[in-house]
Amino acid sequence: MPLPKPPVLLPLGVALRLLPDAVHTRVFTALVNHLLRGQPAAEELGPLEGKRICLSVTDHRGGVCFLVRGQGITPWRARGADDWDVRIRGRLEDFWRLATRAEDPDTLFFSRRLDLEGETEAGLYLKNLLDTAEPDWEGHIHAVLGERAGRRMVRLLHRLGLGRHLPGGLHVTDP
Amino acid sequence: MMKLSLGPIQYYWPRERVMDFYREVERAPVDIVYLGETVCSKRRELRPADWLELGDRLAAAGKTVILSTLALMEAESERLALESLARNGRFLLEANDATALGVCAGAPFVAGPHINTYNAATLAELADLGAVRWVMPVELSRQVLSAMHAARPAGLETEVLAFGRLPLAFSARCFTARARNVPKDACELACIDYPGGLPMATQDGETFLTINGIQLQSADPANLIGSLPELMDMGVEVARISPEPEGTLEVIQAFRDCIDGTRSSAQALERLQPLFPRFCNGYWLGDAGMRWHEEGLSA
Amino acid sequence: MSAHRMELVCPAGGLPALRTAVDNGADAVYLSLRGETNARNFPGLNFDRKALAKGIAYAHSKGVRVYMALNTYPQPDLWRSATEAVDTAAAEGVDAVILADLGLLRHAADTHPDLTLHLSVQGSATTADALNFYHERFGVRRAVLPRVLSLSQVGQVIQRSKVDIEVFGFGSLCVMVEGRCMLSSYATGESPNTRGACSPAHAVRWVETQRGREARLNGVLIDTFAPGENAGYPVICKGRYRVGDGQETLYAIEEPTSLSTLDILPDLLGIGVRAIKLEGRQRSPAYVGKATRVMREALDACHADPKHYTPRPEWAQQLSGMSEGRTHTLGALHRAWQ
Repeated sequence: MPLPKPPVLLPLGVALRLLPDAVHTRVFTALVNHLLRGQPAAEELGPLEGKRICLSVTDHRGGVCFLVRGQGITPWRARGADDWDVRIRGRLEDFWRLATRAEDPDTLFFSRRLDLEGETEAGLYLKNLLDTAEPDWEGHIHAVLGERAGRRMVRLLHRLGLGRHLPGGLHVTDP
Repeated sequence: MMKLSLGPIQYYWPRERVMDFYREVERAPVDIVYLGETVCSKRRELRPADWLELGDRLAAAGKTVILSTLALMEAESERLALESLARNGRFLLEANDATALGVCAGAPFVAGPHINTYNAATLAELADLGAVRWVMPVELSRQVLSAMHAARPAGLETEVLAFGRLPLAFSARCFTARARNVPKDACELACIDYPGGLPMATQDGETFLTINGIQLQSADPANLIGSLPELMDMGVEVARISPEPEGTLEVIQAFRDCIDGTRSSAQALERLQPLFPRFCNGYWLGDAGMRWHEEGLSA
Repeated sequence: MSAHRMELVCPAGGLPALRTAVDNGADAVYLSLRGETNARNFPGLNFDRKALAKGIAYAHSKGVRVYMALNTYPQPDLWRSATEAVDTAAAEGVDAVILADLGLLRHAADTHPDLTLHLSVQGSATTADALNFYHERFGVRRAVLPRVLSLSQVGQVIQRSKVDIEVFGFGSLCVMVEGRCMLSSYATGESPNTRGACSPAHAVRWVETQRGREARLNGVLIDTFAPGENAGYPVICKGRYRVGDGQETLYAIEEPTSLSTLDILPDLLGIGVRAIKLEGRQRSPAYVGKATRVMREALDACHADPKHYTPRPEWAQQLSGMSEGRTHTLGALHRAWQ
């Protein structure tokens, strides 16, 4: 059953087609590293240290490759078709649904909409890390804005009821 | 001195074949014989009374006889059969599931290979229930056994499956019936056509498993004859041989020679090699069960 | 008409899944501590102690119970971490621990007499006498039955059993008697019993070849999937093999299919089943949310009027969309399947 494409995917697809992969990779890694700041998930990247991971978008001829290093990721320029430890292949729409937790990766895998090649253990670890990590928005906001301004922002978001709109929800320790 | 036991026949053989086999076992150099059907309660070539009669004959020939119970109990009738077996008055039971543990509790019994015994606390619990011997689950290694032996309750004997196809899994489904494309309820006891089970190979032609009714076994027999001196050093009291359709008496003799010291384990292994295409011993060495390592065995 | 209700027990591989299960109508969630003490020991999955405390607090604040599965058979090297996990469960206030190992049951019964004990499906208890043995010996209050019994056999067990019965209601299907399957360790050295892993990820390789996508487990070819053909978990029991002299390959053990009891919920209620469990601690929050919501609706409909209960087509549709094999069976509950 084809799902209606979220409107956000249209410009994303165009960007994938028009921009070189190096640009996607830079934007992607910057975004991920930004989101990882202050996150418990960042502390659990250990088992993936040094892994070359490629996300390959099959319907838009593009993708990103990155290397896990410390508590973040760095762009990785693959030197050939097989220059990776884990490769996940799928359509842009399916990657989007995974990223927003709208779809279950195993479901996509059973229906062959998602391929996992290479080191299955590293791939599964990555999948489970994304599934089990609860975004710590409080920690993230503190890490980005600093302690004082962060605390004011968290209280504000919570009071305005905006926290629940963040993916995974804002769970405030001291409301 | 290490004792040698013969495990229950895992396959479904015609009555005459079973009788002939045990007539030879009467004269074979084994100390303990486990009798009974452990895989499928529909296999009734021998009735309970027949097993008891066989037991009497083997006991008269000097064997210690033990009656093995089903590994998977499902029906009410199977429980009733178990309770009457427990009242036989002559032979101990080898309990192979928790139903049998409940029935045996308080009297001496053997905890069979299908009771999951993976640590010393479980050994203590079994001893407390009345177990006089436990049979190591086939997937455990020598390191695990040695750690368990460090805290083994006094008086509890250890038995290890030293030869024979490994019982790996039990199911509600019958894979033999499935291979014949008939439902389990209409299996017509198809197992009787496969005295050594049905081989199952991967798509690239590697033999992998053996289908035996509701049970799956390893493709090749496990063979620990090369590790027999190690087993003895570790204080394993009983080495078990599981009957195969061919070669079982030769296997018994090879193990006996090895225990008696008339043959080294390397010589005994050499004697068995022509009888079987391949062996496995990975579990014992802490590896995947299907693997066979000849190197590193004690000479 | 039955007066009791069946409890809905949902899987949680992590905090997001736990919150999703609770928010979508679970009566109880089951989870595990990280490591080799549970039968779903996947890399990166399960709870550390901090997440456990958060999870229990959230579930309890919504009146949902938390069960902790500790259902491997710890070998000597894991014994300490297993008993510590039981102690942690008791200290953090879980509502029950789900155990299989005789030694661990003894430890729990002696050390934490107030801790409620459930017998795991890995305990392989298939008869009322086996269950009563665990009840009398350790005070076990509930047991999960292996997926090998027919509906009438489950009914017979319940009639004579002194413990409450929980059955699997939906999810990937284990065709073997749980706790009695060593196929995984035969090929890889690790099994659910020993390491909480069936087909451990480090032994799995998916390889694209000209014939299709090969699934290999420690080198053993489990299956080859033609392009576009649905895939399953890379477990030995769901592969395709040759049997005897036959040259064709077939699902010699089991098709990759999933269990669903949507059609027989009133029967399960009628014979006295106390709880319905959803499989899938390894699945994502998206799966847990959908499966919980569907089963909640179905159970509510069944409890409201079991006589006139009919499963809604969209329930089955939603579940099968997420299922392994994308088809459903009643499994052993339907006698003909055996």
